Amino acid sequence: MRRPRVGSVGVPWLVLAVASGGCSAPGRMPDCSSGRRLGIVAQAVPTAAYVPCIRDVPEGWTVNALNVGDDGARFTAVSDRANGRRVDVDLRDECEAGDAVPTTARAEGVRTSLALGSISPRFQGTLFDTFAGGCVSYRFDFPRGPHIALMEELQAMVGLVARRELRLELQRDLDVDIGS
Amino acid sequence: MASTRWYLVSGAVAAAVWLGLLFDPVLARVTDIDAAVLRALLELRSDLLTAVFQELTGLGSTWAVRTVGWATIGVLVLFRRFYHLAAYLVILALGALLASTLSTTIGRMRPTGVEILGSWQGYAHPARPVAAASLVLVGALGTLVPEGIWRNRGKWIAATWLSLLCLAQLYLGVAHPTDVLAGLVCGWALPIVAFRLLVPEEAFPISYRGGRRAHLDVGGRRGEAIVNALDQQLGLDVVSVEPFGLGGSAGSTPLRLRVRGALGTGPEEAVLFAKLYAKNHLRSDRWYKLVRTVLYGRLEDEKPFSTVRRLVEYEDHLLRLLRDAGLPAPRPYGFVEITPEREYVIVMEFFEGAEEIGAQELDDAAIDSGLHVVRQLWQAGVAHRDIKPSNLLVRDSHCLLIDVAFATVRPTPWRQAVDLANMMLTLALSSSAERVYARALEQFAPVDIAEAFAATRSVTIPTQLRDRLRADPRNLPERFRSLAPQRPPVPIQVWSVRRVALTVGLLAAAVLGVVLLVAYAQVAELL
Repeated sequence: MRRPRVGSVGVPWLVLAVASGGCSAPGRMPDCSSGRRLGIVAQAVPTAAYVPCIRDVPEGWTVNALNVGDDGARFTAVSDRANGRRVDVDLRDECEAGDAVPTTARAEGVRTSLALGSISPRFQGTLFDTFAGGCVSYRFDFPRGPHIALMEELQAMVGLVARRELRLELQRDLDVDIGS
Repeated sequence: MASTRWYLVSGAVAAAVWLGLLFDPVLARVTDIDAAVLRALLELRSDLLTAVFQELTGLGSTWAVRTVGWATIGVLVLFRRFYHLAAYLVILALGALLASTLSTTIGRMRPTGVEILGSWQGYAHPARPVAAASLVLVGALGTLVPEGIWRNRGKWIAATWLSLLCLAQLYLGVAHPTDVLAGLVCGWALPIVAFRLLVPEEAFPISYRGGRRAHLDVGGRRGEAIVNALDQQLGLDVVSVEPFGLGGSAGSTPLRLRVRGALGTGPEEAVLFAKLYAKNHLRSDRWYKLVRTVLYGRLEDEKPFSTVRRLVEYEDHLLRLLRDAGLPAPRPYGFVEITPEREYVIVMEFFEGAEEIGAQELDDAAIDSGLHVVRQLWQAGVAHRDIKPSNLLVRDSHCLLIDVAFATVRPTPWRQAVDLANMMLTLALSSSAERVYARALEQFAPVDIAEAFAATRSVTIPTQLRDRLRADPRNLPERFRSLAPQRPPVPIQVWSVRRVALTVGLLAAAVLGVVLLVAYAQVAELL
């Protein structure tokens, strides 16, 4: 009487499952060119006029861990020049920008501001994109030196898509309405 | 099984749908149908129902899933059902991984056009709370609940649980109908098929009747295979095969065979004793010897058997050796192969009319006979290594020795001394230390007895004998030590590079196991 061998059947799968676990649970990164993937980010904050997304991932950067829910959406990005310190990108219906200093707006109707925690020995702080019905915060912690390039790459990498454009795209492609 | 086919068909349909959902036109069409169902449910919305369904989402909450999941793992560990546990862990991880992979690959939005009244996390397809709750419920049913009325009741409870959860998801507009169905396929249909494949009921029956884990079911296909093998390989016309004396055996499944007209038994029915050995017995032997090596060093031959065949061959050889040496061991009739290298049955004489020692007070003749067995073992250059009440039978004041699988040829003097101590302790349980000691002096020198009890420790006494000694208020080992000449204890800790390396290796494996367990629990969404 042959008994099925759980070990021989299951262990390789189990090892594979464990090995791939860290990257499988969170969602794939929100690509600016894919409306169907951004739709759920828009649903996370139904009032937000913009949603954050990934345009192009610069060399040396990794984007992972999209977590989206009814309380907002967040993902992380990390550069190989940031000593493992990741940038947390967070979409909420509101932010506490406090005494953040206004800087060049990243899109029409967006108020961009920067709150620095320190500039040396590390360049730490939070960048805010505030717009009607929502806000995106980017909490960063870069080493001095490459920080200027890293800030530029971060802003080039994370784009903002207007809800009205996304709404039109989803209506056209999927016949669904995410609301204005 | 018909339901397995249906589950597989549902899996195939779901796979086709999943493939289609990657394409916008299909996704749009499916979403359109889903929306129609959700709009119909809008008509039912009321404050009361909303409050009720918001509470019911707790059925798929993280804490509910983790409670059921960890409770199942705990019970499986408690009852040492490691096959079921392995299957459960594998299926739980694969189910969670499948749901997670589908979720990120398809990337479906939550329903639109209806107000979402409940809390949600992640993409909509498949409905993760439904998949997770189904997985742990199916897992609990498939590994903990015996087949029959209890499993049927369990299915109804699980079905009610999941129906309410699915309804809540739909009513609150958190998931589309297809998301909920996909959650059921990931968490219910496919895992059921996987459980039937990995731990089929006929090979891994679930029972709470207190039998030892090492004992295998000898009914069904295995029973037929045993009867056929005994017929074809030993020429035995088997009338019946039944488990026998399960309580005294942990390393095999003991059986009583009724046979007709073979092995010189004549046309009358005769009774034979047999033991079914399988891979799990081999594993038990390996673990037992590994733990002994780590705890005490290599006191004696702790090399595990490499295959089941070797184990059975060895016992058959020992039976013949002991019979040749004139010991009162069962007459061997050989062994048969059920599944090559996996399951074997060894057949031997059944001691009719004999009963386990301890059933009644022993007379001097029985005590002498027991002590003579040890004397014969010494003379034959063999140590039994497992002398305990269940391995000593008495018939007409004569002791009979069974279960020689642990015996060793040319043992150390220490091991032979331990055999004597265990025999004297076993005999004293049914008489007294003073009487056994006095009778032992007829066959052994006082220094032999002193050495025997100087070598005796808790670890050298078989578990069954140790339990009986604990239950006996007389402290028999100490009583024997006081009767025998004084002798310092024989140290039993043996240190070697191998033992240290093995201990370090086991500790490292334990740490790695904890790390893997944490990683696993995250994958399986149990943390």
